[in-house]
Amino acid sequence: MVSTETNPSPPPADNAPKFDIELEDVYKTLGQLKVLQGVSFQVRHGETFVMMGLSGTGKSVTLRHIVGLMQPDQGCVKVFGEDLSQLDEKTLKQIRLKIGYLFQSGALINWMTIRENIALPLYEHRPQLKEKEVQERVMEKLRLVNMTQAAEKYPSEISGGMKKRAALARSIILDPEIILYDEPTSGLDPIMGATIDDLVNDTRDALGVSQIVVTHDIGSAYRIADRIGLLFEGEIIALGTPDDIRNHSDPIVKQFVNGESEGPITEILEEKKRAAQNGAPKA
Amino acid sequence: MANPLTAPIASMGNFLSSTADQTGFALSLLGRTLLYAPTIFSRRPLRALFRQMWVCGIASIPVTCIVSVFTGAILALNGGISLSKIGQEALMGGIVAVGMAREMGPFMTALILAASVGSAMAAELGTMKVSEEIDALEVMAIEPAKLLVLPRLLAMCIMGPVLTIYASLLGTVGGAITSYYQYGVSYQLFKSNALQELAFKDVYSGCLKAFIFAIVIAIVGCSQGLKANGGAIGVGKATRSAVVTSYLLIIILGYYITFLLYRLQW
Ligand SMILES: Nc1ncnc2c1ncn2[C@@H]1O[C@H](COP(=O)(O)OP(=O)(O)OP(=O)(O)O)[C@@H](O)[C@H]1O
Ligand SMILES: [Mg+2]
Repeated sequence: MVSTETNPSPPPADNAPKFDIELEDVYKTLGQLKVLQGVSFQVRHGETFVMMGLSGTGKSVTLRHIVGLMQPDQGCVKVFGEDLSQLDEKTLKQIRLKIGYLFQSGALINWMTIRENIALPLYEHRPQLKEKEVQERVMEKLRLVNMTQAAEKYPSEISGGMKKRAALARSIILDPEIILYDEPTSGLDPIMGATIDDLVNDTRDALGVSQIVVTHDIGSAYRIADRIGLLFEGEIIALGTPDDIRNHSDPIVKQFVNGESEGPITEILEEKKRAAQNGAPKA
Repeated sequence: MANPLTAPIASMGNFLSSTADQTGFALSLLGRTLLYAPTIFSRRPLRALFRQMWVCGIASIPVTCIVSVFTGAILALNGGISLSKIGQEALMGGIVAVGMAREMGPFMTALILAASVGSAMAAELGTMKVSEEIDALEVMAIEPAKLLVLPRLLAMCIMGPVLTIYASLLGTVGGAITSYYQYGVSYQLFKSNALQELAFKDVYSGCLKAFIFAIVIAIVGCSQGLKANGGAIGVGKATRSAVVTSYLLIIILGYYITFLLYRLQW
């Protein structure tokens, strides 16, 4: 977008947010556990941001902050330039309508069929749609995730991977501007996983959607990411393009990316475990 | 850490503040739900309403039948012991009919509904809460109050009084049978005395009670469910405290409604 021409430029976008999602120095303690300790990153408009990190470091917690299901103890979370903690309920709803969120567990409503689950946001927020149009849209999304054959089933009747895909269809049914995927490909076979990767890429390319993808699959991360952030010990310790991450010099990042069982990460975790054991009798 | 002197005070404080918390949450849930009441008049919400009416009305009929017939029979049996001593068995009809309509009908029905339907509400919504389904609704900007609580509350408010009237009638029949076989009161006499004694006020105060109990059961069940956390154990806790809280409120409110309507003559 660097232009040297001096023709009348479009209205200055000074007040328009440059980033769709911004986390500034977010701290969150859950129970005794300091989960987030100064997480900061931004997601640009139209970008796919992949968040990686050990199991239990707080990736899902981070996503929950972005939709306002959790509030930071300290720091601030901005979506479309709006500080979520400053919003009234109505504005927060408005923002949530523009966000699709794939829960790690899927979180399909268990007493509704897959079809009803996916149609629910449409019934609620697009009341002008005719029943036929609703069903068409539902089937269109189900086709995207290859789930048309299970439309009439209940969540308890389908497999974990199928639930994931159905939930994915639900999270994109309102054509959101931001999509947050919490492990979209975990529990899927490699081929289905690749299909979902393509879907993520297609949504970005076709609709210019900003996306955050949490994944443990480093291959998938390289395929879809514009940038990758690595969450470790409550902070983003590395942030960059897939190439940056691949060639990162930090031994922690190296161990993570290469998936080695021995290395600085293991040492840090061992150290913490020892400290906890020694500290325990005092408390 | 746990000072034996202050610990009881602290736990009392905790209890009070959590009770205040729960009450506040339940009342605001009630308010929110009522705000959405007009939205019930369309196809899908109505279907949800009928489904809930089926669950709390029709499905509760068998147990209500048995409980109310026996309640009426107990009223008759118990009243008969005193009345037969003074030769006033003729008054049996009034005692049973008024007792059922005003007190026992609403009371027994409410206990049944709290134990079966209220607990189910807490368990259903609690399960949805701990499996992130409620969170998912919130993220989709769909109000749980509208989608889940409203049909349950309305169904309860409709079916509670209906079931109560039904229970009162059946209880009176049960009382009549007992009166006939145990004390030789003819059905004719029983009926005429019942109709003579039973005032319209008894019926409507019974229905009013049933209506208030219905609100209590639905809101307590739903709010406990929506506040559940911590997996299956949390759901179990929510269910238990929904039943216990409903029972307490039913008994205490039942007393005060009778007090207001009959002692203070409102
Ligand atoms: N509601 C909660 N209450 C207390 N602790 C919580 C809560 N939610 C998460 N935690 C804790 O916060 C930490 C981070 O959890 P989170 O679910 O974000 O991990 P994650 O990075 O998504 O892991 P995974 O890759 O396994 O999904 C965990 O140690 C978890 O025990
Ligand atoms: Mg997670």
